[in-house]
Amino acid sequence: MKNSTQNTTKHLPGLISICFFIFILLFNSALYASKPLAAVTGVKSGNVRVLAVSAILEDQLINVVNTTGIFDLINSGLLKEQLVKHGCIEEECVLAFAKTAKINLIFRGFVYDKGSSIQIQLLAQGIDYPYFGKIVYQYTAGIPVKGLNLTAAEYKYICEEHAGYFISDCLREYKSLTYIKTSKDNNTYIDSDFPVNGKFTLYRFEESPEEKDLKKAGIVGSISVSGKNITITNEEIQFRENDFILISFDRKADFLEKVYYGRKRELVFNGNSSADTAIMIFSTVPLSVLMPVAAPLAYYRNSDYYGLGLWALNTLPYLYLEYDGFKNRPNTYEDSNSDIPGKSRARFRFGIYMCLAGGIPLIIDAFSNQMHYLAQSYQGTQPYVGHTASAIYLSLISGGGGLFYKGYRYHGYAYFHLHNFLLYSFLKEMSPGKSYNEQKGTYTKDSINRKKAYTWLGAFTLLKIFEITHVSLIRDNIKNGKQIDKGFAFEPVIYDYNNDINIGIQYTFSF
Amino acid sequence: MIQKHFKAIIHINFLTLVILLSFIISSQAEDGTYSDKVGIFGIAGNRTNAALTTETADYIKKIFTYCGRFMPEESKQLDTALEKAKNSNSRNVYIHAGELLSLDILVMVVSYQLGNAVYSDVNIVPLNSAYENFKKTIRIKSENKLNIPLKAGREIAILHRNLPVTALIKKKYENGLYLINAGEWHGLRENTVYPTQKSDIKIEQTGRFESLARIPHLKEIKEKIIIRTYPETDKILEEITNDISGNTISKYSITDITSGNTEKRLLESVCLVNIGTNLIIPGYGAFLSTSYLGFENPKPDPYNITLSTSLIAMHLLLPELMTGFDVNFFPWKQDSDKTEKMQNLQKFLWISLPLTFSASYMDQLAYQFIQSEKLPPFFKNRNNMAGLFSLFIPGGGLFYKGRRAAGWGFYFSEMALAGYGIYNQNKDKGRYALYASGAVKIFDIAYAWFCSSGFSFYDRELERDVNTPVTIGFRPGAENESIITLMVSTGF
Repeated sequence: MKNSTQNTTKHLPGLISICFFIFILLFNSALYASKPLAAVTGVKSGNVRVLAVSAILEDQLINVVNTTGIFDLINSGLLKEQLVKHGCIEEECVLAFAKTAKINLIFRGFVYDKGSSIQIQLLAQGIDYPYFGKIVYQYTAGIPVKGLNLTAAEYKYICEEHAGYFISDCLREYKSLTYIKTSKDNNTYIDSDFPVNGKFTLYRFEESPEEKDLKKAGIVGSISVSGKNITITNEEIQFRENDFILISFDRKADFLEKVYYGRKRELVFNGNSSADTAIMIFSTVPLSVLMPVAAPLAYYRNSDYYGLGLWALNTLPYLYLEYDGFKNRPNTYEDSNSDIPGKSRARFRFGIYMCLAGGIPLIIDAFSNQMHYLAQSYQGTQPYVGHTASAIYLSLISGGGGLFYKGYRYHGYAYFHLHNFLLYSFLKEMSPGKSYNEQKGTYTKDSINRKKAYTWLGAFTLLKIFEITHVSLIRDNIKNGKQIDKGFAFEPVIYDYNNDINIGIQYTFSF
Repeated sequence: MIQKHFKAIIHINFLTLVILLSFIISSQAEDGTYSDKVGIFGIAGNRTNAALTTETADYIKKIFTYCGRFMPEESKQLDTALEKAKNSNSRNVYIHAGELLSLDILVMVVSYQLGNAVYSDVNIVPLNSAYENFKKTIRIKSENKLNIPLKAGREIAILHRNLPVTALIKKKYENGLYLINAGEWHGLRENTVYPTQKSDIKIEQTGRFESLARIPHLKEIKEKIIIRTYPETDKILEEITNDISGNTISKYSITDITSGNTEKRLLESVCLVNIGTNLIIPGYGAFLSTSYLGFENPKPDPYNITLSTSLIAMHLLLPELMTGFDVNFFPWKQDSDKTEKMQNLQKFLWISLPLTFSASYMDQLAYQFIQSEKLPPFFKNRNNMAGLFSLFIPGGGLFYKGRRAAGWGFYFSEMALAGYGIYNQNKDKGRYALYASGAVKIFDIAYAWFCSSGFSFYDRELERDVNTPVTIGFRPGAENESIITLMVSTGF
């Protein structure tokens, strides 16, 4: 009986395979395609509380994969239905299924409830060389939910954004195996649905005893490809059919990222208005003067206690300089006919700067941080923020103002301190002490070390150029949630085909 | 229309066939294509506990997957095997189902509620003698349902500590290359050398569940190799502990009993409300201020009121007591009996009065939090907040973390040293006292940052209160009979 069962089991795959191939040949056009075949095998929810979010995320993931135009996507609804029906849920079975169905890439995900946030995890697994089921890209992010008004509409936007960034990053990592084929008239070409251009490393599989085992590939050389045509760059290379190249989709990845960022900007910012920049310019002085009182109140009003703490730690030294500069201003020394220390003159000048413009970055941080937090979770349209011109203006007149304005608190503080340090050092060199001559009743200036002063000025100018460039290039900090880890698992084995020297490349990046 | 339906039918058939084929490929993996297997059964008692049992079983499955040593068996396979086992009249249907599926270990989970507490019994039964030491029954208790799956997962992660990869040789190639049944899923990395029981092996290429390994000594097919690489259990445990902490903080959050922003209310009460009430009713004002946070039916701590009233009196009357009531009561008025150093001490005592108000208030708050089993605002950032409170209030961080005695200890040390230092500031001993006060302050801040919470109801949730009261096991006897072992253990 046992033998009979074993025989049936043994032959069953063959029988099914025959049926399978008949179906393939007759009906399944997807398998003829040269586009990589992809499947979304589902987004599981860790518990019932996040069931709705996982359904939305799955829909958005399917939409994004479809919009890339790179993959032929298996009908996800049917696929999921069949996988569930046949109890093929665990990774082991899903990978075996993907391998059998000649799928190149599968996408799956998980959603977990973490109390004050929702954690999403999206994975892409490559099936053929060089992955053999390994994770191509894994994306884990925490979505904040506490204190936010999140309805189905917001969740849809949020899930679409995460799916978009995940697919974009995944495309940057994914290398699609593309074969060299020979046509009937003996012409060789690249078997790809996409125009392939550039120089590529040509690989060849080493002898493999069985098709289904892990295969090693060695480097044959490099070739240039234009469209589907191959140009040999090295005459010694003898390529043949089924040699292959690995093509990447960097441009598409960049495009997707730009699209999702641009769309979000349109949704959460108030449009690009020069009036906002003008308002910013006219309100610079009053806001800067009021900063010591207005900034802590703004932080407190927004319940941004962390910001308030940072403000206190980072600002108090400069507020002290400002206070000391005004309290012991040069006039007080002149009134008593005593020598004026250089330090006093420098602090007075620095105090004037802090009063007129130097305080603006901190008041910007008090408001913009909250606005960006709301923008990140699609909580309405945020006024005043999102204009590059305003950001450049703020960086020009103050330290880190532009970065604070774009929602980058730590970058902002780094520039704020550097700016103030270099500016104060320059002012100190340019503000020599004055000695009172009792006989003449006049003041004599001490000498200035101009070389030192210009060095500080040069460093300050360089910093400003760097900061303004940084501000111009950096995107607004409106990405939803916090990406928890980022892992790449692309680790191709590169062998020298003739000398059997292997050079391993293992690239891991996480933050 | 017909064409559309026809296409859908074809698609369904196609997918069905592929999935069936995949199943057969997977099920033919008994020759060691994949890892050791674990079957996880959630045994639902009633509908109320069914969801929790399922959630716990799913989380355990997730941890098994993270650790990468035992592959969880498909639920449908488990159900089918269980049905077969039920029809076979075996003594333990779950164990029989596990044997039918050739599982290596079996995990049975049952969750239930008794009073306010929720329990989960996790019974781990090894079916492969290599994992005999896995046998145990763990009872998990929590007052928060959300923590049950996490706590069960934590025990599973701990079970994986120091568990190497056991791989089977599947194929043998030329040049000392072997195909083994462990890959990225098990934590193996390409181009990495791993120690084994005999010599080092080099993983040349990995797949998800397989690898090509270069093994220097000859191996035979189906031979086992123990690769000494271990699951990253510390990372998993840290994540689980953070999640347990987060759930516990949410459950015991004071937000439940008060309306509005409790964080704001705490800061306002420390900075303004408490100072005001203490000025009006010294000592008792600290208790009255706690109501600003919305405690239900708060009761004052009489010891705190007695102590803080005495301390306030001491702040105001110490110079008088030291001089036999000869000096003027007000620090800004100097008379002939008031020496300069006495006036300095008096100024210090008056100026530092708000610190005593605050320390007293923080202590009353700690008492209210402990009594009402609630956690203070900002508790997720408790270390930073404790450091910050200790920076401004002597012992403030310790009170914030519920460590009242330690808080008062720091308060008295800092205030006494500072007072003595001010009184003798022109002498060496005075300066040393001030330095010592500064050092104690730094220690206060550091200790407040590093020390654990003093709220027992919070600590209880984080602790591993695991006990194994009952262990049931099965083992084959000499005459092929089954021997059931029952062990009852208790701590002493």
